[in-house]
This record gives sequence, structure tokens and C-alpha cells, in this order.
Amino acid sequence: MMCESHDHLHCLELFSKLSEYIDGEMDEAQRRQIEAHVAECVACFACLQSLKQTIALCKQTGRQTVPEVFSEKLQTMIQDIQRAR
Amino acid sequence: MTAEPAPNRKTIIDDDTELVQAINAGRTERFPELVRRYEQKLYNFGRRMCRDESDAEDLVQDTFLNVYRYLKDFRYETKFKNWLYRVAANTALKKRRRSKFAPEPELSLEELVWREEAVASEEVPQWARMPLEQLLNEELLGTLHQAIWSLPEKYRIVTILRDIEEFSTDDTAQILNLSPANVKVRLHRARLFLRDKLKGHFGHDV
Repeated sequence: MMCESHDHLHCLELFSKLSEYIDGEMDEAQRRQIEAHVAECVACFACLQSLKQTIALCKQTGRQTVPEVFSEKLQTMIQDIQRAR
Repeated sequence: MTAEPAPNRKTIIDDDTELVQAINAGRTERFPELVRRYEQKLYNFGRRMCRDESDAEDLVQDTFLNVYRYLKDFRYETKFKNWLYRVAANTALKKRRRSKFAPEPELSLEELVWREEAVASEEVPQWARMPLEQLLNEELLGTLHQAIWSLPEKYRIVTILRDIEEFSTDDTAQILNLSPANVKVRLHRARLFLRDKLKGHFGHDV
């Protein structure tokens, strides 16, 4: 996260807020602060982009279909507990 | 008997309200409908929480058993889906507590920052610039699943709810009985952890 043209501590402080920025959960002033910083600091910009890509990939992990055998097992289990009451 | 909401509490009406009220009013023959409605979602939640398929199936089964048992206590003060995931999350976390494994490690932001400093890139890595459709393949998805499973559980569950199931921060906080600030901290650390694993997958192209 080091960048020569910026205060290193500032980079570290922003580092902890990048997820909130990506999620749009920041107030306007904080958002502008991050945007101004990443426009100047290539390391923070690179960090932000790779974090965004990580999140995008997580959203692409897909869904598995419930195996039919398991679905039937669930219905049987429910019928059994209903009968037992 | 239907659980009536307490006076002066906001009642949430959603797509599940009619079905849940019917079951709570004694029409328990409609419970399988609720199972069919959510089995797909809970199965995928289970598969992401548990590396082992049979553990995932046990989690889904135990969750529905707990829902059957405690549905009468549902107060209609949250979305039903949030309540259901709360039952699933509690079931998953209880299983962990009962297991023989040692307490899970924390993910330290300092450690993640330190790693970041060691490999800070002066340009956006190629993998972070590529369109997702070009990047995605079975091998990468395998790496990502392994990475999610290797997250300590309390971080994994936040990641699954926020970045995979796409619950909001507030809904995730409600499901896990955490503050929204706590959800944000855990999520950020988990994302940094996963990003490190992806960097590893792409080798020197960091």
C-alpha cells in the first residue's frame, strides 16, 4: 500500500474502508476522500480494483441444484415428524 | 395457534407471511411447501458453510427440524427469510461449538495490511482487469470454494450472507445478532483474505 506521493498512514487508514466504499455505505465526504486518493495513488487503486474483482467473483460461485434424493429425504423427515405428533 | 405480534411492534408482511401464518394456525400439512420453497437456498448455504456434503445435508435437515419446532415463536417482526437464516446460522454455529475442533483464529487486519505492503502492486493485476466471463473456469471456482471453506467460520458466514446470498449489511447483522459495524469489519477482513488466495491462484501476476 505504499505510494511515494502520499502519506503512508493515509493509505493504511483508507485500506480499512475500501469495502464500505465498494458497498456504497459511506457518506459523501468519505466517498470523495477515497476517490481523490485512489485517483492519485496507484497502489491503492490496484488494491481497490482487485478487491472489487474478488467480490464480483464471489457473486459468480453459482448455485447447485438440491439432489433429488436429498429433497425426498427432507419431505420424508417432515412427514415422519408430523405423524409423530 | 398463530403467534400474535406484541402491541406497538411493527409487523412485517412478506411473501412468506400467509404460508407461515397458515402453518402456525394449525395447517401443518403446508409445512412441506415451506421446505420446498427454501430447500434450494438452504442447501447452497449449507454447501458453502460445510466442506463435506453430508455435513451440509445435516445442517439443512437440522435447520428445518428447528424451524418446525420453533416456527410458533416467530413474531412477524422481521422478514421470515431473515428469521430462517438466523435459525440456519445458529444451527451451523452450534454444530461447530459441539465439535472437537479448537476455537477459530481471528483474521487480523494488521496481518492482512502487512501482507499487502509486502506485495503491493503498482499496477492493477491482470486478473483484476479481465472480464469475469474470461476469468471464470472450473479451476478458479475450485480455488474460490476452497478459499471460502478455509475462512474461519465467523468470517465465512458473513461472506456467504453478504457476498453470495446478497443480504444487506443490516439484514446480515439481524441474522447473526451482530452490529452492522461488526458485520462490515468481518466482511472486509474476509474479502482481503479471499483476495490473497486469488492472488496466490494467479501466481506472480499480483
